[in-house]
Order: sequence, then C-alpha cells, then structure tokens
Amino acid sequence: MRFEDEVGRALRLTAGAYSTEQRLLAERSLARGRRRVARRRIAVAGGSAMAAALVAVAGVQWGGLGDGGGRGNPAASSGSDHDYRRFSVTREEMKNILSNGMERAGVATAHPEVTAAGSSGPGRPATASFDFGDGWGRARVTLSVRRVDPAQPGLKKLITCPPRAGSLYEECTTQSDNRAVKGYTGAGKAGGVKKWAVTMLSSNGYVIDVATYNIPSPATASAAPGARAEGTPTADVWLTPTAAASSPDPATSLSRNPRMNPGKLRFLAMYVDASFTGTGDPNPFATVTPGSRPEPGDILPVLKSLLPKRLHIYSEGGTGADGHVVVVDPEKGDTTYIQAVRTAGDKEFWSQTLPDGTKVGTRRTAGEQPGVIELRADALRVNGLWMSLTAYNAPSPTSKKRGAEPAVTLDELKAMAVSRAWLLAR
Amino acid sequence: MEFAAGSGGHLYRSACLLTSGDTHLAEDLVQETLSRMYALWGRISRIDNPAAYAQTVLVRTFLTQRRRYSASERPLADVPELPVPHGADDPALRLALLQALRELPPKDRAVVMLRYWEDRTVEETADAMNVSAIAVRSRSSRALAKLRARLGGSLAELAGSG
Repeated sequence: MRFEDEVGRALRLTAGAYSTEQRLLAERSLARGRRRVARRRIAVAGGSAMAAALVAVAGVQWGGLGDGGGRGNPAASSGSDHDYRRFSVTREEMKNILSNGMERAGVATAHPEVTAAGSSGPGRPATASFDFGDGWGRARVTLSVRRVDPAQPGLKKLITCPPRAGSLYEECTTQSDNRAVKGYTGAGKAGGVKKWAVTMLSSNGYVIDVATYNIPSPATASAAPGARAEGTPTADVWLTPTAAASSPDPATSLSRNPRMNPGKLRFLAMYVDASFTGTGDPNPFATVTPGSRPEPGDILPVLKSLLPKRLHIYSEGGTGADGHVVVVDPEKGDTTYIQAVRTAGDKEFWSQTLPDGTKVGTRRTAGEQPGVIELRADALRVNGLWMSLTAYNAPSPTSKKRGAEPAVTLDELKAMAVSRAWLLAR
Repeated sequence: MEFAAGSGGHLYRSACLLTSGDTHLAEDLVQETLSRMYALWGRISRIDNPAAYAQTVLVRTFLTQRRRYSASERPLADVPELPVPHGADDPALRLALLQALRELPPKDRAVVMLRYWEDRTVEETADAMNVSAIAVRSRSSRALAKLRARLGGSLAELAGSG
C-alpha cells in the first residue's frame, strides 16, 4: 500500500473515533448563526451611527451589572455556548428536581404533595410547589426557574437588596455568588405570614427563586393553595396579600419562622442551579425518581461529566461513594488515574474559602512509585459534603509513572472538586 | 437545521483532524462554520454541493483562527513526552498520528486533511485554501515526508488494523 493510502486510511480510522451530539451541535451553531444575522441586521438597519449608539447604550447597561463575573461583556455573551432562548423542562422533571432537592437539603417532610408546571421557552418560568408537614403544621416550598441571558439589563436588582429604609423586606442579605436571601412578612389577619426566599442568578442563565412559608392545614384552608404567580420574578413565589388575607387563618403559627431555615433554602437554590445545564435542559442526575436508590458507581457519571473534554477515557470504575477513570491526554500521550471520593472526614488542609462558604484545599505530593506525582483537591461544602479528587501520572495509584505530569492540572482538579454537580450525586 | 444536523458529524471529525484532537476547538470550529453557513444560507442553498462548501468554510475558518492565535502562542520549553506505539490495536497509534499532525504547520495539516481525508484533488484543495496548485503539491509532499519520518511503519500497522 502506498504511504498516501496508508495516511488516508489512518485518518479515516482516527477521525471515525470521534463522535459528538449532533443535534446539540446543530442547535448551538444555529443559535450562533442567528446572533450573527441579528448583529448584521442591526448594523444594516440602523447605519453605523445608530449601531454605535446602540453599542454605547448597551455598554452602559451591561456595565451596570457590576460583579457579573464577566457576564457584562457582550462579546463573552455572544461567544458562549449557552443558548439563552432555549429552555425545556417537563412538569415531571420539575417535580423530581424539587423533591430531590428537598431530600438532599435534609428537611424532614411528612405527607408531601408536589405540584409543578414545566416550560418550553424563556417566556414562561417553570414552577414547582412542595407542601409538607414539618411536625408543627403544614409548610410550603416553592420553586421558580426562569431562563434569562445573564447579560440582560435589570437582572442585577433581583439579587441586590434595596436600601433598608422603606424596604419590603424585614431582613435582606445580598450575598456573593449572585444571590440574595430575603425575609418578609406577607399580609394576613393573624399577624401575617413569615416567608423566606432566596433569589439566585445562575451563571448558566437562569433566575432561580426558592421560597418557604407556613400554610394553613388543608382542613382549615381552601384559599392558600390558590397562591398564584405575580408579574415580578421574586414575587411569583409569594402569596399575594389578597390571597393570604382571604385565607381562613386561625393559627398564629403562620407568623412563626418556617422550619426550613434560610441556610437550607440557600442549599436548595444551589441544588437547583446544578440541576440545569447551560443548554437549557435539566441535568439527568437531578431528575431521577425521588427516593430511588443510588446506582452502583453514582459518583462515576458525575466525575465523567466534569472531566476536561480533551481527555480520552480508557477505563472506569467505582462504587456508590467513589469513582475513578484512567484517561489519556491525546496531546501528550500521558496516562492519568483520576479518582473522586465522597469522604466523611480526613486530614484538613484548607487554603481558600469560596464566596458560597465552600472550603478548598489543594496539594501536590510524591506518589508511591518513583516519579509519580499525586495531585489532590478537596472541597468541603457548608452542608458537609466533602469531595476529594486525586490524580496520578500513572494508570493506578500504585503503578509506575506514565508521563511526566498528570494529564490534569491542579487548577482543573480544583474546578472539578468545587463543581455543584456533586450535589446531585446520590 | 436539517443541513446542520446532517453535516455536523462529518464536519466535526474533519475539525478534530485539523485541531489534532482538540475537541473543544473542533466543536467551536464547527459551530463557527455552521453559523456562517446559516447567515449566508440564501446564497449557499443555490450552490450545488453545500456540504463541500461547508468543508471549505471550515478550513478557511481554521486557518484564519490559527493566524490570530499564532501571535499569542508561546513555544513550550520542553517537548511533551510522546506516546510510544505498541501494537495495531493500541489507541496510542492513533494518538501518535494526532501528535504527528499537530507537529505540522496548520496549512500543511489542512492540505493533508483535504487531500487524504476528503479525497480532494490538488486543484480542489488549492481552491478551498485560496492558494496555488503548486503550493498544494509542495506542502503535500513536505507534510507526507514529515509524517513518514515521524510515524514510519507504525502507520502501516494502524492502517492495516482497520
């Protein structure tokens, strides 16, 4: 066989090993194409002067977003893989996300009743409501997820507490990580209904609202379940003053603090954040049937989803609490063993605390065999979840080295360890 | 949408060869290519072979991007450790091919991809790359010589294993 033919055949074999999700690729391409056409139309329709004015105005509005973590940059927005006009989640998926989130938040729930509505576009938020007995009566947790472009002007105010004077909220904290925690008492005959809400602007392009408050027991209340959405994103999780006032509310218990405290509500918001992908779809890990038992190796799929895409997976394995992969970096040919473990406590070596309270520690040590390097990144979340990721430049922790360095860097390992996707692993 | 979904897979594999296995960059290249096709679809749909035209757009986009990136690229101090081919069924052989492609200049890589993966003639390759046929022949023979020196008999093993 001629060398040219050998090259051709080798190229076909090599290229044939690559595959991609074609539908997703096509959708992202078309989204980018639409943006390209829209930009061109603006330029053509308005002329250069008008386009310059638009850019100036947009610049002011985007600039006003402040700490958007680069979201204020229109170039970053248009170059992103996110298609903020796409949103698709079913009613059943919303029910499962909220139910799984409540379970993972560690809230004791008796006789839960879950209702939900899905969404098929950014014009309509997907919602879910979870009524349950908390031992002192009935309580409700509501969830609203709305698809947005994080660069959209006006979103910042949703996660910024207003000045205290004249504020609607009795307590309000603007937190880093694009989040606000709000305490509020709605109108009610028996002294009002105490509510807590967390509003979060997800970097994946969602406004997430979770709220909780006590509700009358089903026997005494008929109006409360009729709580309905209002126009504003934050208001759609509250009882309207009218609805609350009309409820036959004999119990002053409605004015007490809900059993689900703001910390757990904050966790729920983070769980929901992890439950939706940048492409507008729910994460399959979050929509599993509530209460289902973990699959053997539940950590493994999450680990695989977080790996840098340049790496090829050679082998994989794991149990419920850990997962490992052996990967090859095609650029260097290095073989690397990467392990993820959900630990229950280990030697602490924290070096950093993230805005959401997660403690992070990284270290680089020598492995068992000569030349083997062990990279380790641990992340301890405020809810106690401790993920430990380790990488060796060898096919296993006890093997001889295969490559000068592990195929992942310590920064990549750290990014994997702090990912909220671990919240979804059962 | 149908065109994008139908041609995306082949474009992606071509892009993987052009980028020597960098799947992130390959996806970005395909998205950029298809988005350009979308913006020009009124004109493109009158072209006889939109799929071939998409390949041309892909190659030109790749070469344009490489020109932009090259100004900010810095050479590595150490040459990365190279995989050693073991046998016909060893994926390391494929990795070795990707590594060998990576060592070619971007234009040579584009010539190899168009000539031996796309099976285009010298003239078609020249047209796609906006260069002369002589330049294509010259780049082609130089690239093959480098691949032969780099891969030698390993390539015959890989080709034979398919």
